[in-house]
Amino acid sequence: MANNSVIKIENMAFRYPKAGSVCLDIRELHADAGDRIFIYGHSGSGKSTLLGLLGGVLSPERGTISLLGHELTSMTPSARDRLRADHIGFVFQQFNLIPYLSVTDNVLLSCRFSARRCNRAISSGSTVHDEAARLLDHLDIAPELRHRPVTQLSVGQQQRVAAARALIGRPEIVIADEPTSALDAERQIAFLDLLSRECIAADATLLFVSHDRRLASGFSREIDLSLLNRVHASQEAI
Amino acid sequence: MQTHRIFQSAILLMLSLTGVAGNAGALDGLSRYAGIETPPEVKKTDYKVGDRLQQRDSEVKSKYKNIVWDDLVPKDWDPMADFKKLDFNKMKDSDPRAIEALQKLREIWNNAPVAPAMDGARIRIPGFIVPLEVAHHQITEFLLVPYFGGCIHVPPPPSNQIIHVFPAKPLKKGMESMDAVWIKGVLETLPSDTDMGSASYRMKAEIVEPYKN
Amino acid sequence: MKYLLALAIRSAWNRKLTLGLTLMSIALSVALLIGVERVRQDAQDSFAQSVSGTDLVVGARTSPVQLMLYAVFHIGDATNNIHWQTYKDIAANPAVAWTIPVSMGDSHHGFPVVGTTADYFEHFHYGEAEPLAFSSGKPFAGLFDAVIGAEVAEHLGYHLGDKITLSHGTGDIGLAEHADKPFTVAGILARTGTPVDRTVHVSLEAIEAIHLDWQGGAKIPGFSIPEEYASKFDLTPKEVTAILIGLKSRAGVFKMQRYVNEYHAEPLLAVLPGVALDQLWQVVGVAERALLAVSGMVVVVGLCGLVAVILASLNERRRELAILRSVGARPMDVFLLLSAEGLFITLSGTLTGMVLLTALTATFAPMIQSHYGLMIAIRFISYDELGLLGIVMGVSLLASLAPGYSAYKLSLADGLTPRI
Repeated sequence: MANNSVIKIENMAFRYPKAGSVCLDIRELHADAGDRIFIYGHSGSGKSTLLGLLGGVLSPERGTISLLGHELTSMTPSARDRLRADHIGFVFQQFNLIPYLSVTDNVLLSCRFSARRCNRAISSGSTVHDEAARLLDHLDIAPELRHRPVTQLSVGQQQRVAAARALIGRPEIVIADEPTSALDAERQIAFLDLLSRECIAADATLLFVSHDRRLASGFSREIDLSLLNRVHASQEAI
Repeated sequence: MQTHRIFQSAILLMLSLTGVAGNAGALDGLSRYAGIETPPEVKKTDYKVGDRLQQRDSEVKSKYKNIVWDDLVPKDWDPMADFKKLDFNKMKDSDPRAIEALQKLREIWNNAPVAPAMDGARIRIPGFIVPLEVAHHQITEFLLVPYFGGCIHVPPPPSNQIIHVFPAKPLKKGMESMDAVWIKGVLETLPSDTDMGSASYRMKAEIVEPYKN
Repeated sequence: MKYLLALAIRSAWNRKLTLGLTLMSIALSVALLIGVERVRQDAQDSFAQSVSGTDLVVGARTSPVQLMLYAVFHIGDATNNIHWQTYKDIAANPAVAWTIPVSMGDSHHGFPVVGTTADYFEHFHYGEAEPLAFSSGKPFAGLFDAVIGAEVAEHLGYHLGDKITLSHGTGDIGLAEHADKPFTVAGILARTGTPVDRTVHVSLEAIEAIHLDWQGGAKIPGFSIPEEYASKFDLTPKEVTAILIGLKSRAGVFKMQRYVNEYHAEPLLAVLPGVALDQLWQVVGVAERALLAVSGMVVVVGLCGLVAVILASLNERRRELAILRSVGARPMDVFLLLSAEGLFITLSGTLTGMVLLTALTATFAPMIQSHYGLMIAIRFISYDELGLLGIVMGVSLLASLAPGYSAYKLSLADGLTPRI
């Protein structure tokens, strides 16, 4: 089981440099290939910290975090940056796109920082541009929008472009941090469906963080971060 | 995208030029624009009027013989001969003979002979520059004198203590009056071409470099 | 790494309005700095080019700089003149190969008039031992012949045979004229790029002739000598303003200098042109360096403006930096990105400044030449200026690193989720 897990956190505790106390304390968290996990976390529950740790920009003070068998805690910061570039796609709540790049260039951003993603994006006969176009197609972004500056897109369109960027090159892990919170109610489900479908097609592990429990159906697992985080658990117990 | 590729190449080119120009120019420029006009080895302000340049015995083997200014004076020449004959004790104050003798001495100095043995000698000697011709901030012809301030404050050197120098290459920019240099080359003696003129030294200097002790 | 450069350029282009202003301020400051240096160097060069092959310049005792200014550059006036007999004594010295006496005091439409002899056209050299050449005509033969410099001819539109009138004194307006004795343009000199171009040359005798009926700087009222009778008078000059001397042996210059300085009959000064010019540069050098320092500070101000603009924009760009981190950019990449942006602007600004300077030089150089006789070369950059530019680039590089470093720290702190 240990060899198959895509994400594995064990006995991990994290404290911010100037903080007095630990803010995230997880005994165990794992995800296997193809898992789609809904993480329920309201603001303040430590989800930003968790994302930072999984992304390798933060380092725990004890315990281990392994991604695809790589032990983050024993890697240098730039090695972690490379790992993140090669294997993880992120979607944030809003302002996901670089304003001075076109839609296509935003999607291709992942490939610029990772040769691996670039290579995986190129199937025989096609270029990264073709792959970007294909993804944008799947995510319902019309061709005439692709060379527009991203500021001309609606929020929903921007989120879908962000999803394309997270998915290009078939990274093993997709982490979505409240990606629907800025969308209208009708579009939230639609986005979720699109994202899930693409993750399944790419055989990627999806971590979907949200405070909206209504979106939890359809995921293979649901985790309540405030229960997982022993810091809060112990506080609530008090 | 293509325009940006052109931009990229342009930026990389400019960055490399920056590096080159910055290195080459910054040091050179800094010294010049900080107001240090002379070569950094010796500052002009280090000299007082009448100072001569020291010449240590060179341990370095050079194809140029190291000579001193006294070597340019013929060994058998004694301009002070007549002067020494005067007995100042026997003179009254303001004796005209004293001034006469001094003027005669001056005249002798002005017409000092050259040492014929120096003709064709391959030598090196240090001295101070008096520029004669300048083109584009570079001195192309100059006189070399033995001591600082030789053209303004103190009596000018006698004619066998002046070398008329033609450098092989124009001097570096920034060289100016009273800069101290070494000259290296073959010395020539020129006979005087007038009855009141005097013989002189000339050199087509192969090397002219700033003076360092 | 290459992509970071592309990102930097596109990011800068996105904010081209604000950054454009800082770019212009850098461009102007660089143009100012290099321009000041260029004028300095070219002015010195121009002055140095004005005389060549002359061993001594002699005038009534004054300061060496002042003597050079009026005798060679025709700027300012002499304190006193030299008696004709003194000139003859000096010219007769056996060490002397040639002499050129010059007499000044009159002008023509603002251009100085110099009285001299035929020796002038034979022995006067400039630049790198260049002799004077005639573009048309020849040296003065008749009493009232004038040989004019190229700038005079061009500016006033003169041709051979034209009649011109000289004015007394060297002011700009309101001068009394020697209207009764007009001169004929007998020769026009080819352009030299020296004060010769701005000069009207006549014979020493002609100067005497036009002042025959003058006394103490003004025409004697009611008394006039017609020009055709002028030659009947003894027109031997009584005095000259300065003498240029060439020696048979250049090494004997100090001896001759001493002779002139100690000349018993009247107080004289003999200077070596090269040495006197060096003294001039020393006098001016302080002001020049001050000007250069001020220009340098202006560049620094421009760079500070750029740094301020980029730093001010950092706060809005935290999300953008977080996005870059999320796709795998390292904090070092963020540093490089912001630094590259700054560097891109400074380099573009510098380049624009140089282009601006070249354009300005091309526009104004002809005017400067005709008014001041200074040749400012029209070129993109010279080797010395490259050194100065190198310093500017070096400082720009350091300045660009500041916002880069700030962004680096910010990105480290923010990680993937900046709290805005």
